[in-house]
Amino acid sequence: MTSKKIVHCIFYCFIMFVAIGGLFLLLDAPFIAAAQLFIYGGAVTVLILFIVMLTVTDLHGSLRNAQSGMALLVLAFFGSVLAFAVSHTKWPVVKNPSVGTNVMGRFAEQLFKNYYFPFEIAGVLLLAALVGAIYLGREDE
Amino acid sequence: MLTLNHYLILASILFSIGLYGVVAKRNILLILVSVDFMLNAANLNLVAISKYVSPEHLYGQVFAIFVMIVTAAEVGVGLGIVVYLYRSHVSIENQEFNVMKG
Repeated sequence: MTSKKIVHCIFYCFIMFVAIGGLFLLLDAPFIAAAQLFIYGGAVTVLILFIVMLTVTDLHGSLRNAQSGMALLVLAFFGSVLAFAVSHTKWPVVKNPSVGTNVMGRFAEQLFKNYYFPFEIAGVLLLAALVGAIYLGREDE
Repeated sequence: MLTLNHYLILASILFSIGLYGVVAKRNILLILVSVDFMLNAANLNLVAISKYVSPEHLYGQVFAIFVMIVTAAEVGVGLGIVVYLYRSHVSIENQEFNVMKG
């Protein structure tokens, strides 16, 4: 199922993140695609690789635990039920979907006019996460 | 020609893979990556439904950017916790952490 070596796992995840970024480009979301590439392809992957180097992850034997076979069965069933339900739902799809011109400009307008307050809250959340990460990572006195 | 269903089925497969990783992995780092998988699937759903159901409003893209911000915060704090646990237990195997007190 997965590679034995954890760095290989992270590298395959990087490929997956970049591929999802390509899908965002196909969906006419250029800013989301760029953010996906920067945040996931750049920051998250490098951060996780860094932590892999920092913590010697010398797991003996498999990367999976004892319940992995059962989990595989249950989640294959779950995924097929989910895909079945999704494909049999009548979505109110419009004919010839096109997001129009100037996607970036209208996206920025949406973000900084209608969703300005949540944007500020998200900034505060990032600051709190930064402080929390520094607090967790400090040396004990 | 790609339709909405293709994106949604891909996202549900991706979500199931992420959930499998969360349930079946021994390594905390891989569990964190699996959570990222699930959030990515949600993002893909948001952007795809936004394009195919109400393409002119771009609501899904705004929500996707918020999900990304929360993910960045989650990864930062999560990796901080992983390093902390590694220092206190000298292991990042999730079977080791079976007491609530530090």
